[in-house]
Amino acid sequence: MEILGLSLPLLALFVSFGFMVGVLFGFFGMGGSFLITPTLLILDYPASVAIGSGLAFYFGTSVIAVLKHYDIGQVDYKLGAILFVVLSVGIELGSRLVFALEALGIAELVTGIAYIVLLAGIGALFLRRAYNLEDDGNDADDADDADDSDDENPAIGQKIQSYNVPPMISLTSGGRASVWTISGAGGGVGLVSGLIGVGGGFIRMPAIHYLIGTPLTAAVGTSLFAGLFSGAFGTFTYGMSGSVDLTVVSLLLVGSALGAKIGSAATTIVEENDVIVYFGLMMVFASIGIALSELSDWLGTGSLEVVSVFLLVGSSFFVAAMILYQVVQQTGSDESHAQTTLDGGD
Amino acid sequence: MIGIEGGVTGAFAVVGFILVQAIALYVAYGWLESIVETIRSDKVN
Repeated sequence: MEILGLSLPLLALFVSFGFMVGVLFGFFGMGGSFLITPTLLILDYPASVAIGSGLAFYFGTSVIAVLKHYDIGQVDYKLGAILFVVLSVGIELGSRLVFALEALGIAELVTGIAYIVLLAGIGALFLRRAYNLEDDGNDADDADDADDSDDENPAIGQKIQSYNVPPMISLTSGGRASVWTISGAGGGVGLVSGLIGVGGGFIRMPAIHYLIGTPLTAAVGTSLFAGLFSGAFGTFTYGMSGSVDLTVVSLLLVGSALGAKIGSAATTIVEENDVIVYFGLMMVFASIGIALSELSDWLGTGSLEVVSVFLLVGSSFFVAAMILYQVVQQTGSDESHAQTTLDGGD
Repeated sequence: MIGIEGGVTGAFAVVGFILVQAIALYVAYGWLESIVETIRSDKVN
Protein backbone atom coordinates (compact mmCIF):
# COMPACT_ATOMS: atom_id res chain seq x y z
CA MET A 1 0.00 0.00 0.00
CA GLU A 2 1.30 3.41 -0.94
CA ILE A 3 0.41 6.87 0.36
CA LEU A 4 1.61 9.97 -1.53
CA GLY A 5 3.81 7.71 -3.65
CA LEU A 6 5.66 6.22 -0.66
CA SER A 7 5.29 2.82 1.00
CA LEU A 8 4.11 2.86 4.64
CA PRO A 9 7.49 1.79 6.09
CA LEU A 10 9.26 4.54 4.12
CA LEU A 11 6.63 7.06 5.23
CA ALA A 12 7.14 6.08 8.88
CA LEU A 13 10.93 6.19 8.38
CA PHE A 14 10.85 9.77 7.08
CA VAL A 15 8.59 11.07 9.87
CA SER A 16 10.57 9.31 12.61
CA PHE A 17 13.92 10.24 11.04
CA GLY A 18 12.73 13.86 10.85
CA PHE A 19 11.75 13.63 14.52
CA MET A 20 15.18 12.32 15.53
CA VAL A 21 16.98 14.94 13.40
CA GLY A 22 14.73 17.56 15.04
CA VAL A 23 15.70 16.35 18.53
CA LEU A 24 19.39 16.62 17.56
CA PHE A 25 18.81 20.03 15.91
CA GLY A 26 16.93 21.39 18.91
CA PHE A 27 19.53 20.04 21.33
CA PHE A 28 22.79 20.82 19.54
CA GLY A 29 21.54 23.85 17.58
CA MET A 30 22.55 22.44 14.21
CA GLY A 31 20.26 22.36 11.17
CA GLY A 32 20.61 18.65 10.52
CA SER A 33 20.17 18.96 6.75
CA PHE A 34 23.63 17.38 6.43
CA LEU A 35 22.01 14.10 7.56
CA ILE A 36 19.05 14.35 5.17
CA THR A 37 20.85 14.58 1.81
CA PRO A 38 23.18 11.57 2.36
CA THR A 39 20.24 9.48 3.62
CA LEU A 40 18.29 10.28 0.44
CA LEU A 41 21.39 9.46 -1.62
CA ILE A 42 21.69 6.07 0.08
CA LEU A 43 17.97 5.50 -0.55
CA ASP A 44 18.77 5.90 -4.28
CA TYR A 45 17.27 9.32 -4.85
CA PRO A 46 19.05 11.18 -7.70
CA ALA A 47 21.74 13.59 -6.45
CA SER A 48 19.83 16.70 -7.58
CA VAL A 49 16.62 15.55 -5.80
CA ALA A 50 18.55 14.60 -2.62
CA ILE A 51 20.30 17.99 -2.59
CA GLY A 52 17.20 20.00 -3.56
CA SER A 53 15.09 18.26 -0.91
CA GLY A 54 17.88 18.70 1.69
CA LEU A 55 17.97 22.43 0.98
CA ALA A 56 14.16 22.65 1.09
CA PHE A 57 14.19 20.88 4.46
CA TYR A 58 16.81 23.37 5.65
CA PHE A 59 14.62 26.26 4.47
CA GLY A 60 11.63 24.85 6.42
CA THR A 61 13.65 24.45 9.62
CA SER A 62 15.08 27.98 9.13
CA VAL A 63 11.57 29.43 8.93
CA ILE A 64 10.70 27.70 12.22
CA ALA A 65 14.00 28.86 13.82
CA VAL A 66 13.41 32.48 12.74
CA LEU A 67 9.81 32.37 14.00
CA LYS A 68 11.14 31.08 17.30
CA HIS A 69 13.74 33.84 17.46
CA TYR A 70 11.74 36.46 15.56
CA ASP A 71 13.38 38.96 17.79
CA ILE A 72 16.68 37.68 16.37
CA GLY A 73 18.62 40.05 18.59
CA GLN A 74 21.80 41.43 17.19
CA VAL A 75 21.62 41.23 13.43
CA ASP A 76 23.93 43.14 11.11
CA TYR A 77 21.34 43.72 8.34
CA LYS A 78 23.81 45.36 5.93
CA LEU A 79 26.23 42.45 6.28
CA GLY A 80 23.28 40.01 6.14
CA ALA A 81 22.05 41.54 2.86
CA ILE A 82 25.52 41.36 1.23
CA LEU A 83 25.91 37.80 2.51
CA PHE A 84 22.52 36.84 1.10
CA VAL A 85 23.59 38.06 -2.37
CA VAL A 86 26.97 36.29 -2.35
CA LEU A 87 25.52 33.14 -0.74
CA SER A 88 22.90 33.03 -3.48
CA VAL A 89 25.56 33.40 -6.19
CA GLY A 90 27.53 30.54 -4.53
CA ILE A 91 24.42 28.35 -4.29
CA GLU A 92 23.58 29.01 -7.97
CA LEU A 93 27.13 28.05 -9.01
CA GLY A 94 27.02 24.96 -6.76
CA SER A 95 23.70 23.80 -8.21
CA ARG A 96 24.96 24.31 -11.80
CA LEU A 97 27.99 22.22 -10.89
CA VAL A 98 25.69 19.44 -9.59
CA PHE A 99 23.69 19.36 -12.83
CA ALA A 100 26.94 19.33 -14.85
CA LEU A 101 28.28 16.45 -12.72
CA GLU A 102 24.95 14.67 -13.12
CA ALA A 103 25.29 14.95 -16.90
CA LEU A 104 28.73 13.33 -16.55
CA GLY A 105 27.22 10.63 -14.31
CA ILE A 106 29.49 11.33 -11.34
CA ALA A 107 27.26 13.61 -9.19
CA GLU A 108 26.47 10.88 -6.60
CA LEU A 109 30.16 9.97 -6.30
CA VAL A 110 31.38 13.58 -5.85
CA THR A 111 28.57 14.41 -3.39
CA GLY A 112 29.21 11.19 -1.49
CA ILE A 113 32.94 11.90 -1.14
CA ALA A 114 32.21 15.49 -0.05
CA TYR A 115 29.90 14.12 2.66
CA ILE A 116 32.41 11.53 3.84
CA VAL A 117 34.98 14.30 4.39
CA LEU A 118 32.46 16.77 5.87
CA LEU A 119 30.83 14.40 8.38
CA ALA A 120 34.16 12.85 9.43
CA GLY A 121 35.53 16.39 9.94
CA ILE A 122 32.58 17.54 12.06
CA GLY A 123 32.70 14.26 13.99
CA ALA A 124 36.42 14.72 14.70
CA LEU A 125 35.80 18.30 15.91
CA PHE A 126 33.08 17.16 18.31
CA LEU A 127 35.17 14.25 19.58
CA ARG A 128 38.05 16.68 20.16
CA ARG A 129 35.70 18.99 22.06
CA ALA A 130 34.50 16.04 24.16
CA TYR A 131 38.12 15.08 24.84
CA ASN A 132 38.98 18.68 25.83
CA LEU A 133 35.97 18.84 28.13
CA GLU A 134 37.14 15.66 29.85
CA ASP A 135 40.60 17.15 30.14
CA ASP A 136 39.18 20.37 31.60
CA GLY A 137 37.21 18.32 34.11
CA ASN A 138 40.37 16.50 35.18
CA ASP A 139 42.35 19.67 35.53
CA ALA A 140 40.02 22.38 36.78
CA ASP A 141 42.84 24.90 37.07
CA ASP A 142 43.38 24.83 33.33
CA ALA A 143 39.67 25.22 32.50
CA ASP A 144 39.67 28.98 32.23
CA ASP A 145 42.76 28.94 30.04
CA ALA A 146 41.14 26.39 27.71
CA ASP A 147 37.97 28.52 27.42
CA ASP A 148 40.07 31.53 26.61
CA SER A 149 41.93 29.67 23.88
CA ASP A 150 38.60 28.53 22.35
CA ASP A 151 37.58 32.17 21.88
CA GLU A 152 40.85 33.13 20.24
CA ASN A 153 40.73 33.74 16.54
CA PRO A 154 42.99 31.26 14.71
CA ALA A 155 46.01 32.73 12.87
CA ILE A 156 44.42 32.27 9.44
CA GLY A 157 41.31 34.18 10.60
CA GLN A 158 43.42 37.05 11.91
CA LYS A 159 45.41 37.14 8.65
CA ILE A 160 42.25 37.23 6.49
CA GLN A 161 40.71 39.94 8.69
CA SER A 162 43.88 42.03 8.30
CA TYR A 163 43.38 42.40 4.51
CA ASN A 164 42.01 45.89 3.90
CA VAL A 165 41.30 45.67 0.18
CA PRO A 166 38.74 48.36 -0.82
CA PRO A 167 35.79 48.69 -0.95
CA MET A 168 35.42 48.40 2.83
CA ILE A 169 32.11 48.48 4.73
CA SER A 170 31.44 49.43 8.35
CA LEU A 171 29.97 46.66 10.48
CA THR A 172 27.05 47.50 12.80
CA SER A 173 28.95 45.89 15.65
CA GLY A 174 31.93 48.17 15.03
CA GLY A 175 35.00 47.60 12.88
CA ARG A 176 35.27 47.36 9.11
CA ALA A 177 35.49 44.48 6.66
CA SER A 178 36.50 44.23 3.02
CA VAL A 179 33.66 43.41 0.63
CA TRP A 180 36.11 40.95 -1.00
CA THR A 181 36.51 39.04 2.29
CA ILE A 182 32.72 38.94 2.74
CA SER A 183 32.25 37.83 -0.87
CA GLY A 184 34.92 35.12 -0.56
CA ALA A 185 33.60 33.77 2.74
CA GLY A 186 29.91 33.96 1.74
CA GLY A 187 30.48 32.73 -1.82
CA GLY A 188 32.51 29.76 -0.57
CA VAL A 189 29.85 28.77 1.97
CA GLY A 190 27.14 29.21 -0.71
CA LEU A 191 29.06 26.99 -3.14
CA VAL A 192 29.30 24.22 -0.54
CA SER A 193 25.56 24.63 0.25
CA GLY A 194 24.56 24.41 -3.39
CA LEU A 195 26.94 21.55 -4.11
CA ILE A 196 26.02 19.19 -1.31
CA GLY A 197 22.63 20.49 -0.14
CA VAL A 198 23.43 21.62 3.37
CA GLY A 199 22.20 24.78 5.02
CA GLY A 200 25.77 25.48 5.99
CA GLY A 201 25.01 27.16 9.32
CA PHE A 202 27.86 25.19 10.90
CA ILE A 203 30.35 26.79 8.47
CA ARG A 204 28.50 30.08 7.83
CA MET A 205 28.44 31.18 11.46
CA PRO A 206 32.18 30.49 12.10
CA ALA A 207 33.00 32.20 8.75
CA ILE A 208 31.12 35.35 9.79
CA HIS A 209 32.76 35.30 13.22
CA TYR A 210 36.34 34.34 12.38
CA LEU A 211 36.84 35.62 8.81
CA ILE A 212 34.70 38.78 8.79
CA GLY A 213 35.25 39.59 12.47
CA THR A 214 31.64 39.96 13.66
CA PRO A 215 31.19 39.32 17.41
CA LEU A 216 29.72 35.89 18.23
CA THR A 217 26.27 37.14 19.32
CA ALA A 218 25.81 39.20 16.14
CA ALA A 219 27.28 36.37 14.03
CA VAL A 220 24.54 33.96 15.18
CA GLY A 221 21.71 36.39 14.32
CA THR A 222 23.28 37.49 11.02
CA SER A 223 23.92 33.85 10.04
CA LEU A 224 20.27 32.98 10.76
CA PHE A 225 19.06 36.03 8.80
CA ALA A 226 21.25 35.33 5.74
CA GLY A 227 20.58 31.57 6.01
CA LEU A 228 16.80 31.95 5.82
CA PHE A 229 16.95 33.84 2.53
CA SER A 230 19.72 31.74 1.02
CA GLY A 231 17.73 28.61 2.00
CA ALA A 232 14.71 30.04 0.16
CA PHE A 233 16.91 30.83 -2.84
CA GLY A 234 18.45 27.32 -2.84
CA THR A 235 14.96 25.77 -2.70
CA PHE A 236 13.86 28.05 -5.54
CA THR A 237 16.90 27.13 -7.66
CA TYR A 238 16.31 23.37 -7.34
CA GLY A 239 12.52 23.92 -7.52
CA MET A 240 13.03 25.45 -10.98
CA SER A 241 14.11 22.03 -12.26
CA GLY A 242 11.45 20.16 -10.25
CA SER A 243 14.17 18.60 -8.04
CA VAL A 244 12.38 19.01 -4.69
CA ASP A 245 10.40 16.01 -3.42
CA LEU A 246 7.66 17.74 -1.44
CA THR A 247 6.35 14.50 0.08
CA VAL A 248 9.72 13.69 1.62
CA VAL A 249 10.34 17.28 2.77
CA SER A 250 6.85 17.58 4.29
CA LEU A 251 7.12 14.29 6.19
CA LEU A 252 10.59 15.21 7.48
CA LEU A 253 9.36 18.65 8.58
CA VAL A 254 6.34 17.19 10.44
CA GLY A 255 8.69 15.02 12.51
CA SER A 256 11.45 17.60 12.79
CA ALA A 257 9.30 20.48 14.09
CA LEU A 258 8.08 18.30 16.98
CA GLY A 259 11.53 16.85 17.63
CA ALA A 260 13.13 20.32 17.70
CA LYS A 261 10.71 21.45 20.41
CA ILE A 262 11.58 18.43 22.54
CA GLY A 263 15.30 18.78 21.77
CA SER A 264 15.47 22.45 22.76
CA ALA A 265 13.46 21.73 25.93
CA ALA A 266 15.94 18.93 26.71
CA THR A 267 18.83 21.42 26.87
CA THR A 268 17.49 22.63 30.23
CA ILE A 269 17.43 19.07 31.59
CA VAL A 270 20.36 17.21 29.99
CA GLU A 271 23.97 18.44 30.04
CA GLU A 272 25.31 18.79 26.49
CA ASN A 273 28.70 17.59 27.71
CA ASP A 274 27.15 14.23 28.71
CA VAL A 275 26.14 13.36 25.15
CA ILE A 276 28.57 15.33 22.99
CA VAL A 277 30.87 12.33 22.55
CA TYR A 278 27.94 10.31 21.12
CA PHE A 279 27.20 13.11 18.67
CA GLY A 280 30.82 13.04 17.47
CA LEU A 281 30.68 9.25 17.10
CA MET A 282 27.37 9.54 15.23
CA MET A 283 29.01 11.81 12.65
CA VAL A 284 31.92 9.41 12.22
CA PHE A 285 29.51 6.44 11.81
CA ALA A 286 27.45 8.45 9.30
CA SER A 287 30.65 9.14 7.35
CA ILE A 288 31.54 5.42 7.37
CA GLY A 289 27.96 4.65 6.29
CA ILE A 290 28.28 6.85 3.20
CA ALA A 291 31.72 5.39 2.43
CA LEU A 292 30.20 1.88 2.55
CA SER A 293 27.38 3.01 0.28
CA GLU A 294 29.87 4.35 -2.26
CA LEU A 295 31.86 1.11 -1.98
CA SER A 296 28.66 -0.86 -2.50
CA ASP A 297 27.90 1.09 -5.69
CA TRP A 298 31.46 0.59 -6.91
CA LEU A 299 31.41 -3.16 -6.23
CA GLY A 300 27.91 -3.42 -7.69
CA THR A 301 26.57 -5.24 -4.62
CA GLY A 302 23.56 -4.20 -2.58
CA SER A 303 24.55 -6.00 0.62
CA LEU A 304 26.54 -3.08 2.04
CA GLU A 305 23.63 -0.67 1.45
CA VAL A 306 21.72 -2.12 4.43
CA VAL A 307 24.76 -1.62 6.67
CA SER A 308 25.23 1.96 5.44
CA VAL A 309 21.56 2.89 6.07
CA PHE A 310 21.82 1.26 9.49
CA LEU A 311 24.97 3.26 10.32
CA LEU A 312 23.62 6.59 9.06
CA VAL A 313 20.03 6.42 10.29
CA GLY A 314 20.67 4.07 13.23
CA SER A 315 23.43 6.21 14.76
CA SER A 316 21.30 9.38 14.69
CA PHE A 317 18.37 7.41 16.19
CA PHE A 318 20.71 6.15 18.90
CA VAL A 319 21.99 9.62 19.90
CA ALA A 320 18.48 11.15 19.83
CA ALA A 321 17.22 8.19 21.89
CA MET A 322 20.08 8.76 24.38
CA ILE A 323 18.96 12.39 24.84
CA LEU A 324 15.30 11.35 25.26
CA TYR A 325 16.30 8.60 27.70
CA GLN A 326 18.28 11.07 29.80
CA VAL A 327 15.32 13.49 29.75
CA VAL A 328 12.98 10.75 31.01
CA GLN A 329 15.53 9.62 33.61
CA GLN A 330 16.20 13.16 34.89
CA THR A 331 12.50 14.07 34.93
CA GLY A 332 11.73 10.83 36.82
CA SER A 333 14.44 11.44 39.43
CA ASP A 334 13.36 15.11 39.82
CA GLU A 335 9.76 14.04 40.39
CA SER A 336 10.72 11.35 42.94
CA HIS A 337 13.00 13.88 44.64
CA ALA A 338 10.14 16.40 44.77
CA GLN A 339 7.84 13.69 46.15
CA THR A 340 10.41 12.78 48.85
CA THR A 341 10.79 16.45 49.76
CA LEU A 342 7.03 16.85 49.99
CA ASP A 343 6.73 13.70 52.12
CA GLY A 344 9.57 14.92 54.30
CA GLY A 345 7.81 18.25 54.69
CA ASP A 346 4.68 16.53 55.89
CA MET B 1 8.46 11.22 -6.46
CA ILE B 2 5.71 13.74 -5.79
CA GLY B 3 6.98 17.17 -6.58
CA ILE B 4 5.90 20.27 -8.38
CA GLU B 5 6.98 20.55 -11.98
CA GLY B 6 9.81 22.98 -12.54
CA GLY B 7 9.78 26.48 -13.94
CA VAL B 8 9.51 29.81 -12.17
CA THR B 9 5.87 29.22 -11.15
CA GLY B 10 6.69 25.76 -9.85
CA ALA B 11 9.70 27.04 -7.88
CA PHE B 12 7.59 29.79 -6.27
CA ALA B 13 4.96 27.15 -5.44
CA VAL B 14 7.59 24.93 -3.76
CA VAL B 15 8.99 27.81 -1.68
CA GLY B 16 5.47 29.00 -0.78
CA PHE B 17 4.33 25.49 0.16
CA ILE B 18 7.28 24.93 2.50
CA LEU B 19 6.90 28.42 4.01
CA VAL B 20 3.20 27.86 4.76
CA GLN B 21 3.82 24.34 6.08
CA ALA B 22 6.60 25.52 8.40
CA ILE B 23 4.42 28.34 9.80
CA ALA B 24 1.48 25.93 10.23
CA LEU B 25 3.68 23.40 12.04
CA TYR B 26 5.13 26.10 14.28
CA VAL B 27 1.62 27.30 15.26
CA ALA B 28 0.22 23.75 15.64
CA TYR B 29 3.05 22.50 17.86
CA GLY B 30 2.90 25.77 19.84
CA TRP B 31 -0.74 25.05 20.62
CA LEU B 32 0.09 21.46 21.47
CA GLU B 33 2.81 22.63 23.85
CA SER B 34 0.50 25.08 25.61
CA ILE B 35 -2.16 22.35 25.99
CA VAL B 36 0.43 19.99 27.52
CA GLU B 37 1.61 22.79 29.85
CA THR B 38 -1.98 23.48 30.95
CA ILE B 39 -2.62 19.78 31.67
CA ARG B 40 0.68 19.53 33.57
CA SER B 41 0.01 22.59 35.73
CA ASP B 42 -3.55 21.35 36.42
CA LYS B 43 -2.07 18.00 37.52
CA VAL B 44 0.46 19.68 39.83
CA ASN B 45 -2.25 21.86 41.38
